[in-house]
Amino acid sequence: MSSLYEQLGGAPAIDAAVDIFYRKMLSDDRVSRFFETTDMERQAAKQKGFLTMVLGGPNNYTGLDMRTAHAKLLPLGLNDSHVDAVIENLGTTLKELGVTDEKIAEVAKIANSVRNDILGR
Amino acid sequence: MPKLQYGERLIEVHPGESVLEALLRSEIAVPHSCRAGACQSCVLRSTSAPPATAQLGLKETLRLQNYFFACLYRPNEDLTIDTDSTPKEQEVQILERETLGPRVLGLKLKPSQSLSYRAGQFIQLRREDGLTRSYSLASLPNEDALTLHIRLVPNGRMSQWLFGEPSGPLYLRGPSGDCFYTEGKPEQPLLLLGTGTGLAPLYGILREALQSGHHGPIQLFHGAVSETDLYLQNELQALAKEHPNLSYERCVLQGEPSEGVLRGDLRAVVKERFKSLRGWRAFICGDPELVNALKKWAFLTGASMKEIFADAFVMSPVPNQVTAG
Repeated sequence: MSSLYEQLGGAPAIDAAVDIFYRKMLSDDRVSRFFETTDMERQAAKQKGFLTMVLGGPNNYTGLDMRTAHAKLLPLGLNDSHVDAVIENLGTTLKELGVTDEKIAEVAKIANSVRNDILGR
Repeated sequence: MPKLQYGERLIEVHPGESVLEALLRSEIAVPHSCRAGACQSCVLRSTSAPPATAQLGLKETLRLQNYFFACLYRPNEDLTIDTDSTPKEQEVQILERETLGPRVLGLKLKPSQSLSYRAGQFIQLRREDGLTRSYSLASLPNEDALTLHIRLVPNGRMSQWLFGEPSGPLYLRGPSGDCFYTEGKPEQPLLLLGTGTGLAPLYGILREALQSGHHGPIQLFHGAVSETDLYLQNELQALAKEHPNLSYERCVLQGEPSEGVLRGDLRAVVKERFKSLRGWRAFICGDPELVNALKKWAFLTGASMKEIFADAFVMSPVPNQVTAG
């Protein structure tokens, strides 16, 4: 059984998904401040890593990676509401790409599994 | 077993091993994270063209310069990693200084060895006492001389010297940068946005595109503080007349502009003009604040991250000045 990553079209398709996802984040007042940077390409690469992971693509991120990556955002007020907003944007991105609600729920579950790592809990 | 040259080290790559694995095993600290070709932490450069499979997802201008993902490249043949991030230096002669505007100098240089570059890349100019500044190339690789556009910066050490009495040996290092035209999509619409001497790389890029037969729309917007800061207007108008797919717009922040010149901030001008940049390629050069804002605008307006090429002209700090009183 192939992963959603493969079903969506693998690596080439993910670039298009990243564009959609990252745009949503930059336009979402709830979370945009966490994504403000002058190095947009580097930021996009991180989004790509995240999307690849939650869609079941090849990745070797550890919980520790997620923890250290987000640690500096905690003093800026990063909390559950922001993780919720990102998962919501993930959902609308996948919906735009034609993914079923059922599959979206599965992806949200995977994203939620790293919630505590992201929030340093 | 393939041999991997990394600086002084010669490493035997085990069968099926990736470059990243081989380097880490040899206790060479290469930045990395996802080990899956997504995060771009482990991007390295080879002295020869890596296989496309090791470059999947990398921007085209980086692929052409032999950059690759260390975690994806499982070599079958020997390779050398380019660890020397400083390109070779060579002496250059000033051939000509042309006044392009009251505050812009066209500097024509003759390199001692012919420089292989792509229109839009930049070089570093070093004076004998060590003063070094980066400048974009405005010339085309098939031209004999290298052309730079030098902006006269208030209290700018290099520019004041170049505008004045430059003498003594001058050295050049480069080229660097990934803001250049690539062939393959001759019908793609191109958006070129520049402020001040950000026009320099764009002037090279648009002529390179036209020379290679680009027939999609090429839209150039040059923004400046005032009309006296605009330059190469005649040349660009002539090019636009000769090539129907090239359009050229100027806008200024201050003063009453002449007919045909827009008044306003470049960001406001393009926002009003373009509702969607889907499918476009954008080249954005000049003032860092504007470049970053325009990059973000281009992306949010639909241009793919992979199709946005930016070159922010970061200024060197001005030397401390004694204050009066």
